[in-house]
Amino acid sequence: MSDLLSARSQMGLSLAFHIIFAATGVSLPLMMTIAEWYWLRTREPVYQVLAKRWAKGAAILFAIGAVSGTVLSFELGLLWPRFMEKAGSVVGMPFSLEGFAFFTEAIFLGIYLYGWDGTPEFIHLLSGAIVSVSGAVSALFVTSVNAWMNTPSGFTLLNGEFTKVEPLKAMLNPAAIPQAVHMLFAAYCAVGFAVAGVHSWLMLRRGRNRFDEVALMIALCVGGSGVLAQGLSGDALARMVARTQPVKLASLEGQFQTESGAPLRIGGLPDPNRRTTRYALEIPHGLSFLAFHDPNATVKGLNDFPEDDWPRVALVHIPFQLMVGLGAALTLIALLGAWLAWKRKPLSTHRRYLKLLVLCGPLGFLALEAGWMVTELGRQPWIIFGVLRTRDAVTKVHHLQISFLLVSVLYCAMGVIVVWLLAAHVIADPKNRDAEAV
Amino acid sequence: MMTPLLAAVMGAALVVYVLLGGADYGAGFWDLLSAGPLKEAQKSLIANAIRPIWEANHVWLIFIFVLLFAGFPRAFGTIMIALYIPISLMLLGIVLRGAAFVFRAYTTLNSDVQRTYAFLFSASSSFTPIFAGMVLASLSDDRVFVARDESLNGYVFNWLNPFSLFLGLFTLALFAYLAATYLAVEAASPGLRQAFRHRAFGAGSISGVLAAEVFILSNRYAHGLRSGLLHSGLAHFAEAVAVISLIVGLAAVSKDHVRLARLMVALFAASIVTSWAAAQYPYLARPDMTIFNSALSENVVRDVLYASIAGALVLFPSLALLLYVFKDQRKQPLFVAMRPAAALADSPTSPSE
Repeated sequence: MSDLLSARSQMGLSLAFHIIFAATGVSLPLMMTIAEWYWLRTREPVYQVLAKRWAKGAAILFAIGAVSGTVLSFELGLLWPRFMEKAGSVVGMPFSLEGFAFFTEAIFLGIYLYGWDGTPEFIHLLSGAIVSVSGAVSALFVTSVNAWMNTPSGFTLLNGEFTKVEPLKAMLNPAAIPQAVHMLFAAYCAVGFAVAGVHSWLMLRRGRNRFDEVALMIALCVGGSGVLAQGLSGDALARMVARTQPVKLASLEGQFQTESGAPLRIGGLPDPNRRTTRYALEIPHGLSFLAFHDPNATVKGLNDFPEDDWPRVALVHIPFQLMVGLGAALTLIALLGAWLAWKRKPLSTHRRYLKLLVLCGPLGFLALEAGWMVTELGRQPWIIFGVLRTRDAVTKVHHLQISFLLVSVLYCAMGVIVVWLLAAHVIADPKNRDAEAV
Repeated sequence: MMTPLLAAVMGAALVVYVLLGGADYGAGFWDLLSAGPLKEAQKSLIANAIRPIWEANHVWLIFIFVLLFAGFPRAFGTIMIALYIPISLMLLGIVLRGAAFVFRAYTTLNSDVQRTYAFLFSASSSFTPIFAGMVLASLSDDRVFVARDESLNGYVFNWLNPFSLFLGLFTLALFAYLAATYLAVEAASPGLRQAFRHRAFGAGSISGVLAAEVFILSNRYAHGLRSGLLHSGLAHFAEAVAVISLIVGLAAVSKDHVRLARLMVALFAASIVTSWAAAQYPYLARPDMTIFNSALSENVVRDVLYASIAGALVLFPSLALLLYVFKDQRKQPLFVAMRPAAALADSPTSPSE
C-alpha cells in the first residue's frame, strides 16, 4: 500500500466515521427538542422521558463526534500539509465559524443535559433549540469547505500560489449552498429513519406502547421530511455539478460520449477501457433533462477530458446509483407512512409497515455514506478541483501505513463500543423502564 | 498591525485552554493517582467536575488550531511535517481520553470493563499534556527545519531532547496543579478538600522546580527562547507574576485558603503561558517561521479576526449563561441531576451487589 493510498484511506475512514456522529449531532437534538416541546405543550410524561432518552444518545454521540472531529482537523495538517499550506487561509473562515458553532452546541448541550432540574423550562427548551440550530449551522460551515474543494473560488492563482484571497467569497463558493443543504437534509433523513427503525423493532418486540409510538412518529416526521426535501436539493446540486464539474457529472452518470439528449442511466457498470457503460437501463433524454432542464441539452462525456483527469468512474457511478436508489426507496416509504397515518389508524398497528421500517433503518446512513463517496471520489484526482492534485498535497512523512492501521483499529473498537453502549441504553432492556415509567 | 493582534488572540486562547482544558487533563491525572479510603469519592468528584464542560473546554484547542492554519498557513504546513510524530501522539491521547471518558460514564457493564475505560481515560489524560508540552518546546528550540516538504532534522530528534522532555513534564505538573486546586475548591467534604490540597501543594512545588529546570536547559537547547525570556519586557513582567503567584498560591493552599489558591494557580498558569508567548514572539516555529513571513496576506488575517470577534459575541454570553445555570446548581450538594449517572460511573454494580 503506497503512502498516498494509506493517507487517502485514513482520511476516508476518518470522514466516514465522523459523518455518522456529526449527522447524529445535527438531527438527534432536533428530535429531542421536538419531544420536549410536545412535553411542555401536552404535559404527557412520555414526551419528557423520550426527550431525556434521546438527549442521552445525543450526549454519547456528540462526545465521540467531538473526538473524531478533532482527529479530522489534525489529519488535514498531518496528512495534507501542502493542501493546508495553500488553502488554509482560504478555508480558515468557515472552519473558525464552525468552531464557534460547535462551541455553542457544546455549551447548550451541557445546559440541556444537566439542567433538567435547575433551569426554567423555557430556557431549557430554548437550549435544546439552540443545540439543534448550532449543530445544523456547523454542518453548513464544514460542508462549505468541502464544497470549496469542488468549486474553488475567492482567490487568484499566481505561479501556483494563492493571491488576492477573499475568504468570504471562498466560503460562498458555487457549490456551498446546494451541497451544504443536501448534507443537512441527508443528516435528518439518515438519523430519522435509523431511529424510526429502532423504535419499530422495539415495538414489534414488546408490543404497542405509547413510548415507541410517539418516538416513531417524531422520528418518521424528521426522516420523512428530510428525504422528501432531498429530491429538490439533490436536483439543485446535480445541476450545479453539471455546470461546474462536467467531468464529475459524466462519471456519476457513466457518460463517456458527449451527446445532446443524453439518456439517464439507471444502474449499469461503467467500463473505462471500452469507454461505455453496460447493463444500464436507459431513459432517453433523461440526463439532459435532469441536468439542464432541457431534454436536448448537450452533456459532455468523459472522452472530452484527458484520462489523467478522470476519477475512478465505477467508484463514482455505483455509489451514486446506490444513493439515488435508496433516496427513492425511502421517499416511497415516507409517502406510504404518510398515507397510512392519514387513514387515521395509528402506524403502530401496521405490523408490516413496522417490519419495513426496521429493514429501512440503516438505509439512510447507507445513502449518506454513498453520497459522501460520490462527492469525494468524484473530485479525484484533485484535492482542490482543477488546482491541486491529491498526490501533490500528501505529506512526505513515510510509513503512513502505521497511522492508517492505528486509526482503523481504534475506530473499529470505538464503533463497536458505541453501538454496544447505545444498545445497552436503548435496546437491550426488554422490560423497557421508559415505557413502564409513563 | 493585524498580524500581531491575531497572534495575541491565539495567545489568549492558549491561556484559556490551559486554564480550562488543561485542568481537565490534570483531573484525569489525579484520577490515575487516586488512592486511599476516599478513592471513590475522589474519582466521583473528578468525573462530576469534568463532565458537563470538557467538550466546550476542548474546543479552545481546535480554535487555536484553526487560527493557526487560517492566519499562518505556511507555518502550519511546516509544523505539521516536522512534528508529525509528537502531534500524532498528542492526537492519540486526545482521542483515547475523550472516548474512554464517555465510555466509562455510560457503560452498563461490570466493573472490570469500567476499570479498563477508567485506566485508559486517566493514562491518556496524563501522557497527552507531556506531548503537548514537547510540541511547544520543539517550536521554541530552533530545530524545525523543513525544505522541499521534508524535515531536515529527521522526525525524531527534532523534538525529542531533555529540554522538550522537561517542558512536557512541566506541562503535566502545571495541569495537575491547576486541577488539584480547582478540585479542592469544589470538594464537598473536608477530607476530600484536604486530599486535593495536599496534591495541589505537591504538584505546585514540582512545577516550580521543573520550571526552573526548563529555564536552565534552555541555555543549551533553546537560545532564541532564552534570550526572549531574558530580554522581553512582557516576559519579565509575566515571570515576576509567575514567581509571586506560585509562592502566594502554595502558601494559600497550605493555609486552606482554597479560593485564593485557585486565583493564584490560574494567575501562575496564565503568566507562564504569557512569558513563553512573549519570549517566542514573533516566532511560531523557530528558527524560520514567524507570524510575519508565514501569514498569507493582511486581508485574510483581518477577516479571520473579524470572524473571531463575531464568534466571541455569541460565545461569551453563552458561556456566561452556562456558568449562571450551574452556579445555582452548585449550591445544592453537587449536581443533583447528574447524581444517578455519576453513581453509575463510579460505583459500578458488580455481580456481588
